[in-house]
Amino acid sequence: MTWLLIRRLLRASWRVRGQVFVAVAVVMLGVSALVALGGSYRQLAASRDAFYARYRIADITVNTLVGSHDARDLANGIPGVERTAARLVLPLSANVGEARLMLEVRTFEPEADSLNALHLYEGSGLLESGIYVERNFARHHGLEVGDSVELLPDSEVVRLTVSGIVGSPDVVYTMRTIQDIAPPLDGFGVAYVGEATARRIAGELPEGASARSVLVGPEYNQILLAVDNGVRVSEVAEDAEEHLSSLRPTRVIKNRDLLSDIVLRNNIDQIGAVAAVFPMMFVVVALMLIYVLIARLVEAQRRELGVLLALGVGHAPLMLSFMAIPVLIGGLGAVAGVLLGERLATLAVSFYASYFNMPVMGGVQSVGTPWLAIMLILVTCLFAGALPVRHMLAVQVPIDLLRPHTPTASKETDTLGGVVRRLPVRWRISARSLLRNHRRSRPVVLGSVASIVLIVCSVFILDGMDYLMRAHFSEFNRQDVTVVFTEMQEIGAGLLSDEPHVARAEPILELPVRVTSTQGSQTVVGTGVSPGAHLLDLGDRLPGPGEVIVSERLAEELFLTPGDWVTVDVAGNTSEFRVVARVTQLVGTGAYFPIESLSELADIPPSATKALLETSGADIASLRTSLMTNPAIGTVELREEQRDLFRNTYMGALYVFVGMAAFFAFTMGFLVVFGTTSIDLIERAADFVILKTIGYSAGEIARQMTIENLVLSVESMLMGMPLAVLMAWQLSGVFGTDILSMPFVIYPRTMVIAAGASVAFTVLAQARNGWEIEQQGMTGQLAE
Amino acid sequence: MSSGVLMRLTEVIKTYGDGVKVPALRGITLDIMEGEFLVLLGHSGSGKSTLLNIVGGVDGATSGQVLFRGSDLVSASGRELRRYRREHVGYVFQFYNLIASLTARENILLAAEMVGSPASVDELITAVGLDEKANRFPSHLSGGEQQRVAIARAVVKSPDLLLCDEPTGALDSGTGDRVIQLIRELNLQRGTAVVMATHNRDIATVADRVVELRDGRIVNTSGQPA
Repeated sequence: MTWLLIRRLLRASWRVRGQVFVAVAVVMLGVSALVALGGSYRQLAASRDAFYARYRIADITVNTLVGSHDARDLANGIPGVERTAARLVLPLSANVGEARLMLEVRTFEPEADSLNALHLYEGSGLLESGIYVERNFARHHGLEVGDSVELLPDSEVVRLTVSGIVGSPDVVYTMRTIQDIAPPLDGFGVAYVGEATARRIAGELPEGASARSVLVGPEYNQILLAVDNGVRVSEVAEDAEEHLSSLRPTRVIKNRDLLSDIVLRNNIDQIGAVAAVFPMMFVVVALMLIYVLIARLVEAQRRELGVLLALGVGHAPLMLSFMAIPVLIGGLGAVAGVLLGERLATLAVSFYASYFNMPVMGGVQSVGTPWLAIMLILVTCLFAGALPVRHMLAVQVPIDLLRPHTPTASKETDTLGGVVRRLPVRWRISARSLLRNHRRSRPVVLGSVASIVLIVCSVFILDGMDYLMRAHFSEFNRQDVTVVFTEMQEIGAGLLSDEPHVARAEPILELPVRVTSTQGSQTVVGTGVSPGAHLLDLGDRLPGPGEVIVSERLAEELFLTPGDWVTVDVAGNTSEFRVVARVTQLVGTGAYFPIESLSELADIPPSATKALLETSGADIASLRTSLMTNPAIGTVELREEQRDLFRNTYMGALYVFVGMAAFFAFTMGFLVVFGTTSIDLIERAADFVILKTIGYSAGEIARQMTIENLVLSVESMLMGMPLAVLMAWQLSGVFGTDILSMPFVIYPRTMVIAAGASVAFTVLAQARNGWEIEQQGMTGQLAE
Repeated sequence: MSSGVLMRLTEVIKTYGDGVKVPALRGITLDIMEGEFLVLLGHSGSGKSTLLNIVGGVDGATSGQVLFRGSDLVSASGRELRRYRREHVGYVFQFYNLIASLTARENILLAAEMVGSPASVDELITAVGLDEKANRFPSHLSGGEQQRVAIARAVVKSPDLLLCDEPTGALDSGTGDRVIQLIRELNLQRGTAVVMATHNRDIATVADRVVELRDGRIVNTSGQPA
């Protein structure tokens, strides 16, 4: 009996196959987005965890001011430490191809199970005069195995050959400081050399001597610690700082505070957040479509249902037969979505893993997401389908179903006043259709609203990043050129300001500082600025002696307001500073001091690690060439190049994501309007035939339908845009990281794009209406 | 063609179906005169509705000639047929076919606006006796009232030809009589030619001429054009 009923219903559904197809397509889009994004998130998170575990990311990294041969022995005495490693880290000028830049050259332990072990992507064992280069940096500069790199310690030239391209869990992102908006690959990279080479560069080992001939290692200035299972990392970090105090630790970094990990974690978490929110929009729209579809089918089957009930068919088989449609839609959509989503997830993981600069590890992780998606869809489809059937069967006896249906939406007389009454009569049909037939208009509005929200929220991410880029590169940092010195330079009269075409030069001292308030403690980049400096935008005033300006983010973390006092620690020296202002800093976090105060605290003469330059009409490339002849200069970064680098690397991935999301949203909007229009064409065929019979053309009727849908499109914009703004505001929180504050900025062009897309998919969905109406036979409809 | 002939049908054949051909009209030759009241009488399946649809330009003949004032509808384009329906034909159906989302008055206005002559709408509403119910929607009108709206909608354009397909088929006899009376009055007052398809021989008594159809052929003609 049930099969017979299902067959009957499937035949009836064939009339609304367009709507069925649309519902299947929207379910498919939602499931594929859920599987692709959810699968990517799980796979990437698993890859990261596996990468960290396999290559043993250190739980704690301690950078010290004083180097020691005995650093590792000292570290082994820290309670709760399971394993240690020690490195020499040398910031050096280097020539890579035509570029002069800063290279952080590190020693490493060759054992496979050492902390922060190296993953060799290309190449082989390290040669005597070889160097391993981090992969992202190598890619950016086109370095391959066999190429040479020149290190420039103390104006000497040490030529090394690239033996391999490597990665390590602590340098998935090679950020130099938290102030960097993205890895500064133009001017900074990480490389690894053997201990003998490092010691030779550091001047400890005579030329020709081998490391094996020396019983002790070099003077290590970085110590890596892995803690015992069950021991709190923060407690060991505190003990380590005390235990290693003789080495004057400058920073004790827990693995969750590693810049590389912060960026990676935030990027993966953003995918997770998007995976949870975006596909849900598709699923909600699909469910609403299924509800409307079943409700329309039930209504169309009203008389037949009455006959079947009168014949004694029970509610259960009727209900079951109607459930075949949502099961069909949910099943087809979910399976197609899973297949598509799995494929997209594979592509996305490979793209993101490459972009995130880590190997894909951790096995296939997507199992679970497809089953979850299929079960979720089937259950909710059944629920959406059951509601209208239950409503129809529960409240009416058979004879009610056999009587003609009195439309409840229609009033006895016309109660629509004002504007509607003044419309030409033909348009009153449209007006009443829109105002009274919500089952027809709601799917269009909901689908269009969802589409508009998705488009605005996607493009908003680009707006936010664009604004961030402008704010960072043009407003907060006003310099044309940033010069990074190889070593601290004492501030003398006219530091670089005598260079031709340099209109202004401002020395900058950057040191890691620990800022402690009554509410807590944070290690940040302390920046010393000179009196009268204006190339960094610190607001209305500069800090005076004993004063500090803090970034908004630091102020929030330490609950600081102007007038508060903080203790500032630089490599063991402490002093009290008064907070005089908070400064909005979208990238990074920091504290700003007078350069003399910070130098004094660090126990050094007034010095600079950088210089910010304002140029005066120079050919900026030739200025760089001129500056690079100065051996004290490690790298010269041009604002335009930095901006392009950020746009081309970091923004590139965003463009892909936003493009995909916008395409999905547009497709969903089109499918919803197209499907509903298909149903409209069937349901209103009788009206259209009457219009044709009395002389209206199919084109005139089709144009009327298009305008009806455009009115709904405008309604969707009015509802969707405020909703989109609200969601974008929520998203700005999700996309904010410990490094970046995602500004809540939506450019007017984004709204124009969303509105244009809404109009475009609405009009596109109406394209075949004229033909369809022309094809509707008049004689059959008129006889009914 | 004489000046009194509004429409001339010559050997009109209509068959349905792509594979198995089902003949509906088997060579109809008929003149419809200006201002006459012509009844097409026949049982269900006799071909009277098909003939009416071909005359009304909502269906095409398979072969033959359908001349409206000398212009052939069989070879006319879609645009020409639309103009023909718009300017020359009014249609009344058995099941009224009113637009549910328009009030009675608006249903009539719809047709009037199309030809740009809304002036006679109120007069027509009075003529069909719907002054009190002009602002009601079709679902709140009786069958007879709905049919009167349909008649008013059909004649508001001042068509040359009023086609009525079983206009009393869904009405009780009393209401049906009043509807027929109304159509006859409009025919006489306005000089609009009426072609009415019906199976009811009683209705045929009001006609100037009765053409009887059976199995797609004219089997009998009685009466004379007015």
